[in-house]
Amino acid sequence: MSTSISFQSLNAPPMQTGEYTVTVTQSIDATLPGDSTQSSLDSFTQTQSLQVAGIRFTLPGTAIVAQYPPSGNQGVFANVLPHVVLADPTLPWQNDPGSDAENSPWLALFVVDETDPAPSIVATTVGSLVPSDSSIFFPTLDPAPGDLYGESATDPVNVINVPVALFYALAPSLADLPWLAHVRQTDVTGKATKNGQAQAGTVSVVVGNRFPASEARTTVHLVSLEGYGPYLPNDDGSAAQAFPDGTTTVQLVSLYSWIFQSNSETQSFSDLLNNVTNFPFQRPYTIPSAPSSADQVVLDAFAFGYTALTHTLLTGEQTGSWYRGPLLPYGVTNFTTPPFVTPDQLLRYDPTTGMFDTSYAAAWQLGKLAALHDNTFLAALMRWKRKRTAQAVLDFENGLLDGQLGQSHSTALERFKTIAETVLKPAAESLLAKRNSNA
Amino acid sequence: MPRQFKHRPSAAEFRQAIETDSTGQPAANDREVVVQTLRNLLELQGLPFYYLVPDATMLPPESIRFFQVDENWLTALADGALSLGGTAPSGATEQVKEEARARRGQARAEALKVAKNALNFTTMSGFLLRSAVVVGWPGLEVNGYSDTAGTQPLQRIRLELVSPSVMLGLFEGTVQCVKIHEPAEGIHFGTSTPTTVTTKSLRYAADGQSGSGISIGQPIPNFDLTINQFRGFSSTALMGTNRIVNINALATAMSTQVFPSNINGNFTGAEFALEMVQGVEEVTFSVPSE
Repeated sequence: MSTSISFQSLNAPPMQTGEYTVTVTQSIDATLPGDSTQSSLDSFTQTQSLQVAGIRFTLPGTAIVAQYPPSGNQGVFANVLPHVVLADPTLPWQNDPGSDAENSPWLALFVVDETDPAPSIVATTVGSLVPSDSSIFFPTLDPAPGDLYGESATDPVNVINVPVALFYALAPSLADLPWLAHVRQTDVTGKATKNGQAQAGTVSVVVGNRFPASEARTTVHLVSLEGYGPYLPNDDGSAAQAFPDGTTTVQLVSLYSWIFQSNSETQSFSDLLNNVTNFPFQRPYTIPSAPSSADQVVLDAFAFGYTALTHTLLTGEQTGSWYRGPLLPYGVTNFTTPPFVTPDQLLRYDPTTGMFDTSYAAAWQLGKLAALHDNTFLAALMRWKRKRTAQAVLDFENGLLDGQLGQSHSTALERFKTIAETVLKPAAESLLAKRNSNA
Repeated sequence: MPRQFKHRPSAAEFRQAIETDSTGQPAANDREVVVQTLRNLLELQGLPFYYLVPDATMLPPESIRFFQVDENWLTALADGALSLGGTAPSGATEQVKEEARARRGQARAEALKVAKNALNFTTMSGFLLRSAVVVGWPGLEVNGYSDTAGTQPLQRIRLELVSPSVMLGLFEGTVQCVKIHEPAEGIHFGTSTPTTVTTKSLRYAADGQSGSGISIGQPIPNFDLTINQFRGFSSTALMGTNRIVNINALATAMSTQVFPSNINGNFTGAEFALEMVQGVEEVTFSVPSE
């Protein structure tokens, strides 16, 4: 089975997040009688402002699908550009960094070395995003933080404070940005479902612009560049538009961050899987050098997938009994003959060891408990059974009638016709004849 | 007060019982509810994990275990569920059980919105994988095969994370090997392992002219792009002063190389992604011999 993947360079929504104003003007012009020139009589203007709500400062928990290198992992990542996979295929283009760069993503990855040093995350609120300290720079946003529909000044937000020199070194240029985000479409039929739900097939990806340092810890921040457009460095990392005088640090909203370790110790996908043990599905055991007959019984049971568990009998005594689940190291044939009325019907006793095999009895009991837990199922089952029983009784009675009538009928109406013809009519006729003869 | 005798139901009352549920509504859906719940049970959904793996040593950390499903166990499970709610003609309950058995795999097909092939199987088998891989690569993909060479794919009945680190796979028929590969969307951007110089092998970004035999995604033979588009690149700092890539310059350098001759292509972020991805890794496991 081959899986295919397709790339798209962008997936921009029709309207970006932000505030819009719609102005409608209607002017009425008319040519009045006796006057050949057209004159403007009146004009009406209506202005309506609307906001497209969106994500600006905090990502919902479901927004991040995956990141590479995986969070907390160790491995050879020195030749990998880190990336993050977002569930919303339009998210990187729902906003822009400003500077007329409408098709540039507003999200970027800052890949920070531990020696840079990695800026620490400061938890604050949307209302206090605009710093009071003039040495900290934060761009002017439109609408201002907290003014967009759905935002509140008390919403929590995480920020990082990055020295200006580090910002120029790390930040992608405006020309870099379109290369650093794309949309991927994949086939999800080969993937595990999560809580019965399929995984997303179309996702957006934001890529970093820096290779991680080897033998070091690397922190990656998914930052919002909204409003930062004019301040982003040139392609070679030199300053473009200077920050206001006195600026020493730049405040960036960190929407998500993760840490990984890049080293020379191999722990890649295939390395991890190649270290996975693959044995038959049974309790592991070591065969003693001279197994006794009791040892042999236990070894055989383990090889058949059994394990010994404490078993409380109906009488209250406790004993050890064998149990195995539905997952066996080998295939078995179907040999049970349902229906079973009680779980004890499924207890299997081994006279040579005096032990029970409780597997199927436990399964029966579990099925009953699962059904008891599910009210919808229980109600449906009871109604369905009642219906089946009623139907069976009806069928039985009709069978009796048909037997007496000497022919079978497919509908109740036909049966009634036969009864009327063969039973009621002769009876009525004989009654009539009797009355007539008496009269 | 007159004594109440248990009266024999009339035909009308019987019909009422047959055609409606307790609220007087038509009860045509009841059988479907019963079959679906049984189907979920027969797919081992919602069962406590210790009923499946009764002893922790059977599934230690970093292990994969193949199994075949004991249909007797499932029969007992379904019988237990159907034991409630009074008696019913056994022919009818057997029919319901068989239908639930045959419809296994439907829940997954519905969740994925794909058509489910008609399942015609009498046995189920699968694997349990407990590994850091399940945690670290959430979208990893698994294919099961009925032969050890991995050429006869099996239909998946269930492939689900039963805990953050344990994946359960169920296939129709008897699985002989599974291939586990990195998620396609987790394909990462990377280069060759840097030695003296960092290079990147490139792929064609468009189909060639008809007859040229060149198709999109195919590797460009005998050509590796030397990556020196770093901020602060010098002969002493091969990856620049800070390993920060001048992405725009790199994309421009690539755009001149990746289109087949006589084909004018538009180099966008999508083509750049195609050039930068590194292939996914795949690992095969076969059922261990007894």
